[in-house]
Amino acid sequence: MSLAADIFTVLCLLAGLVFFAAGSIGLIRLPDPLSRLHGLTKADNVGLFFVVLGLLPQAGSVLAAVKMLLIWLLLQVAAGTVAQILAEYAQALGRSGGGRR
Amino acid sequence: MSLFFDAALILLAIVVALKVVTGRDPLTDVIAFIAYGIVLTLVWVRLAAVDVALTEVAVGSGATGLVLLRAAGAAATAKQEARPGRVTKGLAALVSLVVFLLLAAAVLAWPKPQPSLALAVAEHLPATGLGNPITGVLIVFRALDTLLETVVLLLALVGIWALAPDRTGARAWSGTPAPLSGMTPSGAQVLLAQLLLPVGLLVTVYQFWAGANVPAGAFQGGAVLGAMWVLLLLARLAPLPRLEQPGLAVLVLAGPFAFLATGLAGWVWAGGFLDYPEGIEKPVIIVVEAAIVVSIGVTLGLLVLGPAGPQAADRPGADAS
Amino acid sequence: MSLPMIAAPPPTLAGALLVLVVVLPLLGFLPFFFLGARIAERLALGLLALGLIGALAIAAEVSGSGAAVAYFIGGWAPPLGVALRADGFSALMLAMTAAALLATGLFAMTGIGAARPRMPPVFWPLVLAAACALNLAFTAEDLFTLFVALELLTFAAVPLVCLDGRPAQYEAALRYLLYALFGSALYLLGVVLIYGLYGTLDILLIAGRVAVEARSPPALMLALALMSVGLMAKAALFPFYLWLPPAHAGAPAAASAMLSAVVIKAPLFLLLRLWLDLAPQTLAFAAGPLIAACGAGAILLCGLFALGQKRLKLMIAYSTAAQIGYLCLVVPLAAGAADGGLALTAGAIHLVSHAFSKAAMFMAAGLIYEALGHDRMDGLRGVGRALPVSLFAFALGGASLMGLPPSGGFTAKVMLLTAAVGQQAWWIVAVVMAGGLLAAGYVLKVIVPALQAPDRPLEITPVSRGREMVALALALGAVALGFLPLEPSPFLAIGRPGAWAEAVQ
Repeated sequence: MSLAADIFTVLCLLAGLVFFAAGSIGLIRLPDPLSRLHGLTKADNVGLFFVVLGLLPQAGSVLAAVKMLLIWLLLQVAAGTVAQILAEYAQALGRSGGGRR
Repeated sequence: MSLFFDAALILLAIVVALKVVTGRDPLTDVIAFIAYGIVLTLVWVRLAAVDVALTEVAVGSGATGLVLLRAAGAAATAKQEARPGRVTKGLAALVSLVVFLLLAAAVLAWPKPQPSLALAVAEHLPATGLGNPITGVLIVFRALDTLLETVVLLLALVGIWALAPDRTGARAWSGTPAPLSGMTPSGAQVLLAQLLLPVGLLVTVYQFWAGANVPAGAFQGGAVLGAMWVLLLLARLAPLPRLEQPGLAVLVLAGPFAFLATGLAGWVWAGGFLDYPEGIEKPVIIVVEAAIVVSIGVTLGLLVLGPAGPQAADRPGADAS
Repeated sequence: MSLPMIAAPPPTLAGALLVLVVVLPLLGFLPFFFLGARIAERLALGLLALGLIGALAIAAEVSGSGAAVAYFIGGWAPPLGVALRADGFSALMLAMTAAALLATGLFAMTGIGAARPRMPPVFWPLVLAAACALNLAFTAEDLFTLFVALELLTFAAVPLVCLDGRPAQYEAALRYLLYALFGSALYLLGVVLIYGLYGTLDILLIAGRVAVEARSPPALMLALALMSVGLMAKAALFPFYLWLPPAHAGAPAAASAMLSAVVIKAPLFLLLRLWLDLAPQTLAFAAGPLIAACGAGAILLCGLFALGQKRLKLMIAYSTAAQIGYLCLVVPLAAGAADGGLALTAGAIHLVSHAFSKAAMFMAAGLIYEALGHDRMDGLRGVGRALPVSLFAFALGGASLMGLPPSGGFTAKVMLLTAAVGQQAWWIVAVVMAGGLLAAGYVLKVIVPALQAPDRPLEITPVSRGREMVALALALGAVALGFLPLEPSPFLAIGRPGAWAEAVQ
């Protein structure tokens, strides 16, 4: 049982890392701010989901597991809205011709 | 494995620190500084200094970062910008490096086992009714330092307000500060503020309440509270404060003066200054800490906002709520 | 509720006064937020007067009992808790600060911010915050509490520099802030090193451990070096003097007087305390000449710069940067010598007399500026006839800087020279002599033309007689110190240095 949980954790964490890496590569390689933000936010949210999922069996108590899920939820909201705000700002900059990079 | 993690963390800290001092413009520097604070937070967590980590991320990176961001914004519009020359930078780097090497050598040569007051704190902590030794040191054993640190924050606010332009007739510091952002908040920003506000308030209360027993405390809680206020201001869900409001002054002064009053009351209800009454230490400490949380939150928010602007009073949208 | 590790001092009135002189000035913040400037001013003057009474009572207690006064905050004894303690030297500093601040307050009463409505409500709480910080710096026994005191002092002093709101002052204030924060960082690093070495921050406990060590650890030397450089940056001691002249010269006269007279004295006092009370004698003996060399640099170079200034207030500010050098000369003479008491007494008298004479000179310069509308050195002819009282105050203060008898400056220099000759430190003798000549040069450069007849009738804006009298009273105070006996003061020896057991008797 514990071995199965550990294998599950490792697999999930690895999957999460793949998504994080994809998001980071996207941040560096994608051409314009909007697609960079898009890639980063989506990939990181999924990556975090896998990390949290993988850690759930290791949480030790239901309360700790619930806390982790809440943190994931909070970061979902924060990352999503912040990406939106950044995108709007980037668009406003683009319109006024003041964009950098 | 942990060695690998530590090495990566140290490398990251050094790279980000270099980024802070080698940026192209103030804004880049400040963003790097905020990131540096977050890396340092991880370092503190790794050193098992969770209290310091929380303070670093909330005050060192968050609140300071916000103040610096606003300053960088102001610096961007300033006409000329004096950046230190190569010689100055090189000299500063050399001095820093020498001091770092000497410090490292000295720290490695510290006596082992290292003399510390941790045992003495643990021995006397039960007498305070608290469970978190850090809070015990801050609020009980070294209460004078903490009291005066809250006054330092107050002084910083007075100093910043003193930069306001002179105006006749009204009180010197009357009016509202300039808005945090010139842009109309987007729907996402408003939504974020609405969603985070209850969470932030909950975290504030938790930080200060739990701080008595686990790592957390009034300063971190206050920083979160201040952040919530700034979030509301950014989303224009809260009006810009009028600095001359007596209510605002009460919030700013509550912490330092509740602390001071408790200290003076110590002569009446206990053995002397900053001595807490026996048996009800904890309730008294919690009341004082609650006042400190509020004062720190409001003061940090006001520090971010800065002094009253010249014509801020008749700025459109200042009272849109 | 406490289980003190060292028996707490008996609850005496003087012990409570130590706490009160530190925390009561904080009440000055209330009117800033709630009440008008008028009430702020009255409350501030009342609190400053109370502070003087408190400081004198503490000094009387120290003198009467022949022992230091101590108070353990919250009943927690060091090393766990924080102690306030006033020995003879501390008590003298408390009284000097209280007197100088009260005089500053009286001088500022009618003058501050006539044209700037922003100034009075800000000025008064800052003066009181500085009083709190200074009193804490002179009495705290704990290295970290001293750090808090220095922070408070910085945040009270920096806004004073830019009260007028001119762009040049903002620049001066920012530079002051950066130097001060640089100093804070170095000081704090030193404190951390010392805590790592000895597990306590209490100066007396550390001194006790340090004194019995066969060899001082290198980490202690590094800590002392870092803290010294930090304090020197905060005190504008050579080679860190660059921030001082624009900051002190640009502030309003009352603020300049206070900054030059007392604010920079706190880091200097701590520098002396660090090397004379905390450091082991051998280290102090070895490092003394280095510190004295910085002092000599200050006296000679900043004295020369003062001689070359074209503005009166800048000249006085450079003179401050020069005069604080004498305190550094005290370190090698007082450390580890049999007649160290003589040098320490000289240093203490110099601290006090410089505070009084420099405050008087800045006030007089402020009044001259007000009367003439400028403070250019080449436009001072005839000021002596127009403002005789102010010029007299300036001249008396200047006489003390030069070291003319009778004045505190003279007494201090004679004792310093005696100590230097006794230890055959001839270069210190030479520096003191040269410093006196330089001071004579820059003071006479003002007084001689001021006494001559003006080229054309001066246009004088009348100034308040009361404010002139405040400056004169301070200058007379500096003169009065000249009547002290030329011997080590027994009062300054009270309570230092010693162990807690002795301290709390």
